[in-house]
Amino acid sequence: MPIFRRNRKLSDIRAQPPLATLRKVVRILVVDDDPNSFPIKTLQSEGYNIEHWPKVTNVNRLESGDFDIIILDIVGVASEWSAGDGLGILEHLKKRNPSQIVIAFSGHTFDLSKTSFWKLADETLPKPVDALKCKQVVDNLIETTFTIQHYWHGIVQLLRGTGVHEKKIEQLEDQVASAITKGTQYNYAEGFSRFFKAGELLVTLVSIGEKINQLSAFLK
Amino acid sequence: MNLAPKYAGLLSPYPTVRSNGTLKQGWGLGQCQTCTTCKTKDCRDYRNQPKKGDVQHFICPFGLSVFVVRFESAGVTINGMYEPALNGDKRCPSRVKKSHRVNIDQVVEWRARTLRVVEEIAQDIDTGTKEAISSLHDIKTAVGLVYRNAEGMIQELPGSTFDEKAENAEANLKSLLKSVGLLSTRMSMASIVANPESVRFGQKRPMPIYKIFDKMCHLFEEPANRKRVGIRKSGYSDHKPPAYDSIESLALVLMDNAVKYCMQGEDIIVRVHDVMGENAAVVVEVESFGPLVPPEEQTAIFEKGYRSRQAKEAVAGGSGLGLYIAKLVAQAHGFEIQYRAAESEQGRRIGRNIFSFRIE
Repeated sequence: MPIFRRNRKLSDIRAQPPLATLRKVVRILVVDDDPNSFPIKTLQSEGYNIEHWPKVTNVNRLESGDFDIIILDIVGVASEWSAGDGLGILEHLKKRNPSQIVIAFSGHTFDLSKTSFWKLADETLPKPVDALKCKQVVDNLIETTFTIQHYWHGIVQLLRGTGVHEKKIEQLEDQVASAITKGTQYNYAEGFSRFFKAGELLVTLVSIGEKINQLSAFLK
Repeated sequence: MNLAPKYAGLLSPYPTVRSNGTLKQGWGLGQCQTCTTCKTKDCRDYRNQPKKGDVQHFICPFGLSVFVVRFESAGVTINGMYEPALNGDKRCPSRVKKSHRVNIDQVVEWRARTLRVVEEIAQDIDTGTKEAISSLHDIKTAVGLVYRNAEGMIQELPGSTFDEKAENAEANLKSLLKSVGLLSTRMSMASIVANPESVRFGQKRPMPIYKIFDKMCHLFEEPANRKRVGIRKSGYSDHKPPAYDSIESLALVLMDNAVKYCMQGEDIIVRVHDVMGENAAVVVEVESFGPLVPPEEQTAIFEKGYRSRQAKEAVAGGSGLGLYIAKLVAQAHGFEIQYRAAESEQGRRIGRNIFSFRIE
């Protein structure tokens, strides 16, 4: 009988909720001052859960992971919040929560000074776009990036960034994988409180963890 | 964009040597005789001397001072000089000591000035480019509006999903959507010229290469018909290799060129087929009948702004950007676009041109 049990890995969990289910639960935010640039109505009628902001009105909601996918324009959407406008918001969000899924949505593909906007985002939608293309891009992101593994990767990045030991991360992964396999919800607030007592990092980590719980609930 | 190494050579008052060994005169000082008669032109790989900022001083085998001036990732080599404080080599010819005397601080100062000038040039280019293509953004906004209106019309049609409704649309509406799609792809090509990095924007996704070329064949049916040129498709592929969105621009360029240069009454043949096995791939060939590209120009046709003499004679209008864009897209995907004339046509002025590529 082996003395040591191999830690469970989240990469071993291959199951993925069906796309049709995920389409309805994924919360999408379009931030664009031009209401006609994204086919919001068409995608809503297809069952996608989409909200539209002409400008960034509440950074807290973006930071807290309220939206699973943020479709972000670069110009005229966040100049009050950041000198870099949309790029500034994107940089801020990715720094705060690397697993926040963002689609760069702009007509400024020709602009050399905005190249980092396209590079930093998880996907790109250069304007103008038609509904079929948008569906294709969003569906592809849901299937490839809106995954347990993606969010776990975000958690690991943040934990490593604060110097949490690899062994501790492996133990945590084992506990999370075990909870998913048993069909139970892992208590991230309790799990992360071993490393951090309070603060915005703890809030971010728990919000990412909740996404893993949300996704694993569909695997039952 | 690091323009400094390109312009530094032009702006240099000192003689410079390029990486291929070619000597260039400075606007203030020419090449000294020792350098022009030097057989090796391998100036810098010798005794390492002190460095000041981004300027490194070396002494060549003939005892002359060489400065390697770094501009970010690239560098410029100033050759055949004499640095009185750092060069104690007795082999340095006395005529060079008199005529090509320069202090390392002067070179450091020249580097700083060059950077300032180049920065100004880069800003001017950037402003000029932005002004020239800022109107593109307004056109994109208008095209977006056309999309939304067309989609609103499709929403009224029978069908349970948008895809089904779009499938049930009348030919005119479908044609409108395809035309707007073509316009959109053409605009993305303009973006590639302004910002070549945009060919790599987004994630690589499984791309139905056959469907993309099939769509292009439909889009170009009308202009081809006007020229009495037929478009024939051959083969089939269901392999979807991972590719960026920019792959559509490549398909557009190849079809656009085929229609543009194909002679009246002839056919364009588009062949798409899968290659099975470990390195599964899709192979595409676009064949048309028109002026052949002579062997000496077959590489140059992929350069920015280049149009072969035959192409200019056949079609007056053209920017020479299409195949350059196609090359950028191919490079982003790690393959090459091949050009060949059909075997029986080699040596003739007119015949069957074949552009092909293989994407894994």
